[in-house]
Amino acid sequence: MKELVYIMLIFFIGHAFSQTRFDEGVQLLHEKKWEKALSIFEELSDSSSSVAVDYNMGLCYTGQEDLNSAIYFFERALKEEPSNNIIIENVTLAHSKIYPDEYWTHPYAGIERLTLSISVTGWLILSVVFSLLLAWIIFSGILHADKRLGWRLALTIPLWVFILYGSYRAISHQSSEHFCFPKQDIVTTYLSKGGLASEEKLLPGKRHRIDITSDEEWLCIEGPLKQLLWVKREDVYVY
Amino acid sequence: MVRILMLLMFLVTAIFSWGQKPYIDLQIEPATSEVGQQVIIVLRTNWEGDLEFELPDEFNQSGGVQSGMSSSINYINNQAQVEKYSYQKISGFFEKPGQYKIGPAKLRTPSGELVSNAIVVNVIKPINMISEDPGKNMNEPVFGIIQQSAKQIYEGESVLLEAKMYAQVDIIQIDRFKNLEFQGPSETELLHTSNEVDRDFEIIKGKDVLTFRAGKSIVFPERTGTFEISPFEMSLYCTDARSLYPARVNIKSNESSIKVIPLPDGAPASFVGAVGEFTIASKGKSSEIEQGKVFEMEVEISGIGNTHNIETPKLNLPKGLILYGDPTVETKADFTSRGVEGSKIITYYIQVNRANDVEIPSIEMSYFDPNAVEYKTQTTIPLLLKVIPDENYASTKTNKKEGVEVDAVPVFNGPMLVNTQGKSESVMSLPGFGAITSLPIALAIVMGLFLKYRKENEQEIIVRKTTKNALKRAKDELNKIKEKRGVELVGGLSALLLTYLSEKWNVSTAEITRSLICEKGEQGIIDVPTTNELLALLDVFDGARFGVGAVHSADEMIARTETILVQIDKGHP
Repeated sequence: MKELVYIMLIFFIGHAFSQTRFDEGVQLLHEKKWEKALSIFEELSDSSSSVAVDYNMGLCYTGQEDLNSAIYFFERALKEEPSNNIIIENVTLAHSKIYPDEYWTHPYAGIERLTLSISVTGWLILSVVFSLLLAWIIFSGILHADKRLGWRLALTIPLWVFILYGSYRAISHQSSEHFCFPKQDIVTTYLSKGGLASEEKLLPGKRHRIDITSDEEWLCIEGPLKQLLWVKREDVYVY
Repeated sequence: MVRILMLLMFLVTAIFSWGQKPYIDLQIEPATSEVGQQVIIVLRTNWEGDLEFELPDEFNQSGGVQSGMSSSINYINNQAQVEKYSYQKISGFFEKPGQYKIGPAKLRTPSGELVSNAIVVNVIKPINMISEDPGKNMNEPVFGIIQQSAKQIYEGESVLLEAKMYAQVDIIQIDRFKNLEFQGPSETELLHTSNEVDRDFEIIKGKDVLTFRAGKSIVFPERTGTFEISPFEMSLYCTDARSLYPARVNIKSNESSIKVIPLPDGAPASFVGAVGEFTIASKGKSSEIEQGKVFEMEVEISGIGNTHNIETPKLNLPKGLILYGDPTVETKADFTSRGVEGSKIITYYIQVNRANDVEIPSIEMSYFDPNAVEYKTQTTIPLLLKVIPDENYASTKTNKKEGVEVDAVPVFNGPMLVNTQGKSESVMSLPGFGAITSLPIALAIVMGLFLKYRKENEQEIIVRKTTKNALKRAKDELNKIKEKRGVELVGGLSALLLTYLSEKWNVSTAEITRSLICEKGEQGIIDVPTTNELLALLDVFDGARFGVGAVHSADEMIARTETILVQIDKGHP
């Protein structure tokens, strides 16, 4: 019990501290002290990253006119809240400043955005609730040999499967890496891991889809011409 | 007749009194004063009762309390209504700078207690005034010198002017006073009324000199350049040592000038013409609004300086928001010796044409601080506006005649102000998710089947439990008999066997007969050898009890009883 109180105390103190630092960062952003604000948000990002921290880091980079990094951080924030219009507006604007003749496209398909309109926690709560409901229907059906068990299951199971699928998609979305951005203006790509360098270069502000065959050192990405290429993980931002 | 008239008067008075809401009101002029400056406190009420009103210790009351009755005409729904009230007027001054809360005053009436408003009076140190050296005029019995707070000010800054008289003779009466005048385009506000005079004594060149000041005014020049300040004039009666009668003296003060210089270059784009010290804050009338509706945003600029002349700050509105008409401006400020103190509240009307939430970016306002001689910038905190989408509303429906597009250049939305909780990826992994969703269902199936089995075999389980208990009791009893081996051995063995059988078959001991045993044997509840052995054992007990038949040892009877119990238990229940 005592340990629990200590843990809660540490949690609340930690939360209050990070909120104070966050407010400091926001104040520095208002004062247009981009570098100082960025260092605070980087520190917060290391300890407990959040949509607001990522988004504000993106703003710091727009202030420093590093639009490539800004787009990366805005899109990283979008990973959590794909339908957040404030982020979408900023990333669209940052993209249009680099490529005035191109439209920024949303990284996630409409169905995925719809799925992610409910948070992962929301999906988990729904899943648990429906699992318990289904368990109760099964339990009472078996115990009382209820003849209505069949149609009850017929109604509940499809809904439960849908919720399970939604939860699965949401968890997979959050726990896997989707895209990468070049950290520098010119990032060398390779035809194979540690192999020959490719002529294709990654362009700033352009996202590249990550293939599932990536590892800790190398990333297999979809190149500008939709071909698979390899890049060093250290050369790119990943989200 | 007289009675009827009296009754009518009473009714009129009662209706009149009933029609007026009782009140007690506190008014203080000025709300910001200098140390030593006259402050007038007025309490007004239309009711009678015991008044409880305390003044701060630092307030130095000059003279008594002036009280009386007065009336005013109020127009309510275009109908004139006469209001009678009594008042109490207290004048005095504060001895120390600070903020003093005055009130609330309480009026205890038979029908209850009335409580007035409270007012905080801001008392500041007197502004340092510059003047010519009075020591140069000591050859004159009475002379006047213009006092001014500065010889050079910035455009938009204010200057405080005052007439000061020096008298080496006793002044009996001031007859005529013509105040000094700023000779140029300006906005001038008299801070003292013409009959307000501050008296004091000063020692100049070792002589006691009576001084009195009048006509204090604050001036906001409207142009740059050097401007004259015309002298003030005064006629007064003073004692004349050479005559029995007072002498009439006309006094004309010196002239003075003031230089108004332009503001330095490098004013920020957000400069709103404010000179002084200011802060800015903004707030929305609501935090959410329906698409297509007009959102009201209040921006309050507070401070000291040319508050009344500040221009409205420009808004950089995100796409989908337009200004709807001109903003309204309300000034809540007082002229004081430091300038205009108070705030200017600007209400912007913003039509929200977009369907999603939006952040109204921070508003920037720059002002010139004449003390620091630099431009300073203040910003508001951005406002997050939740927009309730309206499917029937199309953004093209905007009335272009009334709406004014403000921002054609897109700008980045401001920072997020609230740090949300950490990202969800750490909440749960896929295996964990699988466990929490499948575990309840698996448990439900297992528990359902288990409980169903228990329910269906409830009778059998009870019988088994009863039989098990009966066997246990019988064995315990047998152990006791083994230890005692008394004369009651046979009776005891017989009784325990019958008790065991009655409990196992759920009948009374009297019902355990040889025919029942045979019946159970036929039903297959006990097998044939056990049936025969049981009947034989009962015969042995009967033989031993009545002394007939073969003699059996005690050990044999105990062993056979023990064996038969085990055999019956193994059989079908």
